[in-house]
Order: sequence, then C-alpha cells, then structure tokens
Amino acid sequence: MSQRFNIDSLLDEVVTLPSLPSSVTRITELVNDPSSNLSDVAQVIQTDPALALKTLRLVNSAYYGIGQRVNTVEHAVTMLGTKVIRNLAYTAAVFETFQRGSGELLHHSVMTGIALRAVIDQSACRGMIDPDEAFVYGLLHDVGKILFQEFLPRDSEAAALVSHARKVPMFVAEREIIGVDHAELGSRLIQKWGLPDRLAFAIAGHHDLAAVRDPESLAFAAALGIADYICVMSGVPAAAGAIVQLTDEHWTAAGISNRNVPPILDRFFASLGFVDELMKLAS
Amino acid sequence: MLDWTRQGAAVVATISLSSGQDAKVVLVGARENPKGAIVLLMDAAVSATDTRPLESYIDQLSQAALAEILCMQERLFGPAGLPAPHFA
Repeated sequence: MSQRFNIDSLLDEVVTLPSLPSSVTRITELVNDPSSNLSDVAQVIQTDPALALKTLRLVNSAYYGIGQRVNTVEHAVTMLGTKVIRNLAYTAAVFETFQRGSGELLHHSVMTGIALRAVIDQSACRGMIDPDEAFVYGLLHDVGKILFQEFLPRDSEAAALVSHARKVPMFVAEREIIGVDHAELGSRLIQKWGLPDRLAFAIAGHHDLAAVRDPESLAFAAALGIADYICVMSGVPAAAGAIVQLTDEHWTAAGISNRNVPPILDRFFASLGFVDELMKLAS
Repeated sequence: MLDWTRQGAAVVATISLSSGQDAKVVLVGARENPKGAIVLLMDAAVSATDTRPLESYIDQLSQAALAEILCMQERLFGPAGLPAPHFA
C-alpha cells in the first residue's frame, strides 16, 4: 500500500509547487498598485518574450474578438486595459503549466473555463467575477491533477483505477489512496501564485462544498463544480470514464434554478467554436 | 447520472419527476425542434401515456438531470461538435 499524506506532509516530502513566472507576479503587483500605469505593465510583458508572444496571440484570437490586428504589446495593453492583460498573462502562464499535463485534461480545462463564463452569468456570482476572470478560473480548477500526474503518477493511476472500479469520483479515490485530493492541492498552488483567496477556496471545494473554508466563496465553488459537471456531461471529462457527482446543494448555493439551466447551456454550446483555437494557443 | 440507451433512432433514459413519478425522456432531434426531446409519462390508472415536450417538464426535473438531458441532446443532434456518446 502506498503512503498516505496530509496536505502539509505532501508538500514537504513530495510535491514542489511550481512558481508563477516572475513577470506574471510583477504584472499582478502592478495591476493592484493604483500608482502604476499601462506602460509599466507593457514593459514587464516585453521583458518576457514567451509571455509577450502568447499575449499577442491571445489578443488576436477570435476568442477575444477585438476586430483589429494588434502587433505590439503596448497596443494590446492600451486596447484591453490592465485587468484583461493580467488575465491574459495568467492564461498564458496556465497554458505553460498545462504543457506538463495530458491533452485530455487541457481540453477539459479550456471547456470548463468557457462553461464557467456561462454559469457565472446566471448565478449568484453574477457581477462579482468578470468573464475573463471566470475563464482563467475555470482553466485552473484541475491544476492539482497535473501536480499529481507529475509527482505521484503511480498513486494517481491507482486512484483512477479505484474511481473506475468503484464508480466513485476521482477526488474520493485520491483521498483514499493519497490522503489528499487534487482540489486541495490545486488550491495550495493558487495560494502560492498569489491569485485571489476566493479562487483558492472555490477550487478546494468545487467537488465537495464541505471543503470550502470561507462561506463567501461557497456560491463560486458551487458554480465551478457545475461548470465542471457540464463539461463531463458534454463528453469532455478530465480523463476517460470520469465519474462526477453533483449535489442539489451545488445548484442551491450557486443560486441556479431550473429556468437558468437552458440559457447557460445555450451560451456554452454557442461558445465552443473557440475551443480548438484556445487549444492551439496552449500548445 | 442517467442511464441512456439507444432505441432505434431515439435515445432514451428514465427520469424522476419532482412529483415522485418516473417518466421516460426520449431524444429524437435537436433543440430547435420542440419535439426533439419529449417526456413520456405513463398513467397506470387509465393505462394511457401522456406525451409532452421536455419544456413542459423543466420545473419538475432536477437541475442536474436537466443539464444532462440538454447536453446529451446536443451531443446527439446539436451543431456544437461535442463528442458523440457511445452506448453499450
């Protein structure tokens, strides 16, 4: 039997959380600093060629749909504003992180980002999280799985086998085999990256609302769980044969009634034309 | 999760309504067609079947079941390019 961990022993003994690129950290600091300006942000992006390239590719993608060619980072920052640029930088950084994960997981994560945009708009979180942020947050929800695949591949595989054999969700099997689930581990990475606490809390509890440590993040965690569920039901799980369980509490906490469900799915299905383009940008 | 089976051109699952009754949801076409998803309710007392569009039962389904039905309909008949389901 493999060793079981708690989150602290796992981080002490096995998993090294990757750092966010320093340029992205710096952009976050600048966006949060009222005395900074657009050209400060543009300068930081220009110092990181990979980030600059990815930012320009994202800005010019149909997903952002700004309708004119943007050739310079300064132009991109001026057109979109610092908050959107920060989200672009996060997206680029997350895509880098996903280079370590499976294509299946990336596809699921991009879809969840798109689904979360649609879910948020019909939920109690409407107005609290803007659509670009929602996309990044959805993209990040399973980042803990990448860490498990990298640092504990055999245990991760064993958890997948238990999940399939007993028809229990992956997070339940991970708790049994490893002692910690991907949601809790991913939440720690989000905290390390200095992303908002509400995202860390929501990721920690998106499968199991009892794991949400802050009541104010409950609706967001539930919305994230629903976005994940919609992707699995759409035939795009994080791994083949994934089992997903959603409680009635998820819908209640997210403030989503039956009448909200069709418009969520209409918007989600209508946005799926962007998936291939976003997948290409990620690779 | 619902247990879907293919029956000819249709895909069918049993659902539970909030009234406590079981019914069958039958998917035969895309969302644009109001009869693309229909619900069959068996009334044992009169040995008759009540057939109505899914829309009529939206408030009697759980949100999870409704989302699953609409996703399955899109996978089968919709234009979004979702992966087609496989049936045993």
